[in-house]
Amino acid sequence: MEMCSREEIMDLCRQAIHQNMCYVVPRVLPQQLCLPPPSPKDELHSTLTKTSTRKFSDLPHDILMDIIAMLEIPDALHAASVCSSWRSVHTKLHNLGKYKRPQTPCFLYTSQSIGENIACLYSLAEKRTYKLTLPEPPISRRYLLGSSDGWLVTADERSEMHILNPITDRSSVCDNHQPGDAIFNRKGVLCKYRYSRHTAEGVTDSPMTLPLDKLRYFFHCKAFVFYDKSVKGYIVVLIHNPCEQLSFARLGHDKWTWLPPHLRFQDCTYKDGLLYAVTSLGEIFAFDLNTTVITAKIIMDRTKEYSRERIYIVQAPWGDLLQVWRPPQGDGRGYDEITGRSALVSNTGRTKLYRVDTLAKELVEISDLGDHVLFMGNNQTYCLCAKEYPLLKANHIYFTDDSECLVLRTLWGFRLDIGLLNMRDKSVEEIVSPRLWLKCRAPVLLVPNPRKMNSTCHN
Amino acid sequence: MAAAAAEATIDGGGKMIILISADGKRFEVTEAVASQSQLISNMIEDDCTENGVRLPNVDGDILTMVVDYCNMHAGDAAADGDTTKASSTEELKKFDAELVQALENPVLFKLILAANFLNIKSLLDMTCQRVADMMSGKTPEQMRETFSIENDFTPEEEAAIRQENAWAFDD
Repeated sequence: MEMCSREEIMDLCRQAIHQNMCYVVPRVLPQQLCLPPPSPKDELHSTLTKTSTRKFSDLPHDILMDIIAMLEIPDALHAASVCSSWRSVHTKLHNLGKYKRPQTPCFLYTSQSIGENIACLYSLAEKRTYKLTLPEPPISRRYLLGSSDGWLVTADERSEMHILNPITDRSSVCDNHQPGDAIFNRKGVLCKYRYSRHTAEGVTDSPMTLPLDKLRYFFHCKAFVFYDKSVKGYIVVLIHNPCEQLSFARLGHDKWTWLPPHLRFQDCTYKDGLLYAVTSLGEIFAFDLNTTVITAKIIMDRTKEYSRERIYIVQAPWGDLLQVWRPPQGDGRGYDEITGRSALVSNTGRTKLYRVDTLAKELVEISDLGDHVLFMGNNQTYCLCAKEYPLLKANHIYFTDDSECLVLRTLWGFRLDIGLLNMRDKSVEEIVSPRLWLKCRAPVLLVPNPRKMNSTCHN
Repeated sequence: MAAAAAEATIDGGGKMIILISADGKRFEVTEAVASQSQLISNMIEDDCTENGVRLPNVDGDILTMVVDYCNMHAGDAAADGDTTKASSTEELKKFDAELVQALENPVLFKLILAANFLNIKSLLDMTCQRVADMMSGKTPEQMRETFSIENDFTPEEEAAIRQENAWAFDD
């Protein structure tokens, strides 16, 4: 209580001085501070000078909250179990959603040999792995479709999409995107899908009948979760086949909106209420998802007629929109180092970075990332300032495998195309050696986020 | 009030202010140096620093550190014309690192409270960051040891808390 009353007086004092509300209040309190030593009876003075026991357990709660807000999530959880007072501060911090520290990205991977319901989280900050036990359906059997802002998007063995925050254990089933007609067996149970392969321009191929667990490998490509501040809700964006088209749904609303007629989308980012999507031909479209009739605004025309590269789009912290081109090396055939068999090999070739000049509609090549670090793979692409993340390597690209034959290569246990590319000398090294993700679903990058889906405290 | 603030900027903070610690030590600093404290900056604006600023909850040894810090960092806030006084970024970094690294816990604690009271944001951020660095990578038990904190949970309570986020506690 003593601490509170001291703090209250300090606050009052600071507020009064700061706000300069009227001439009376700010003059009285500062003069209290300037006057010669007041008599011992002076209540304000005695409260101010009692600095009590000078122990960390007595640290004012607002300061302690600021300190815990600077920690990585596991450290913050450790702090919360030190004593009851720290716990209450952490609870308050969590409820207010005031985490300040940009969380260092982690790699999330699964493997049936580790555990059906276990996701491994390798922390680049602590260089250690945490094992998260997640709710059903088994995470190790799910197809990882992407990750953004701490959310992981998966498709389970029935090809149903789930969005979950592995840190808070909260998950949400996303309404299924219907790629065709559902086929029911005699008992009325959904057993297959008739996957109709069409785009806005026509039918690309005859329909395929697929068992539930196979549909995800044909239909789903990559998914994202973005927060729409204007309606205080989440948007799920899905790149799907045939021809890598784009659709989105608002979480909690059971309707997908298809964004025809453009094709060959590869990556998306979201900024100031606009969805930016890049195609394999280098085109960039911006969609305002809050309008009734959604149109595609061309930010960048196509820059080539065909593409071997995977193309990523990212909003750089300094404000520019970047395009990253990641070409494969060689023709994709070779021997797998692990199995010794001939294999579909995928290695990253000479990656190029471009700044998008939105006025001139041109790509301007940039030779390096300077103080920045880039993450590309089966997740939202991130460009972060290494100064804020002292444990990440500046001017490097962390990449994970997101090649087309990934599912097969994962199933067969082939070596995945994962590494750390130095943009200065173009050398590639392992992110962690020996590799933790052998015979695993390719890791996706996850930026831990302690928020829950229904939280209103979104920063 | 605006005129007073402008004056301080133009003359490079040449006007001197006396800061008086709890134990009566007096420190003479320029307005530019003292203004890094938002509290004192507001008092300067209100013209109530004439007889010295008494800081009844900051000890002399702590105020020495605060004044050293503000002297070093006065260049940050000063107009960019005066390059001779402004310390180089590397020097500042080194000074800051040495200042917080060497501190014993009770002193660090007092310095945080002083930075908070005087409202010197950069010093508060730096000292809080030091505490955060001391926490990182530690188990709850190691944190208790580092900061001499008593575990006031019952074993049952502690087990329940760990269970809530079991993944973070599998050592």
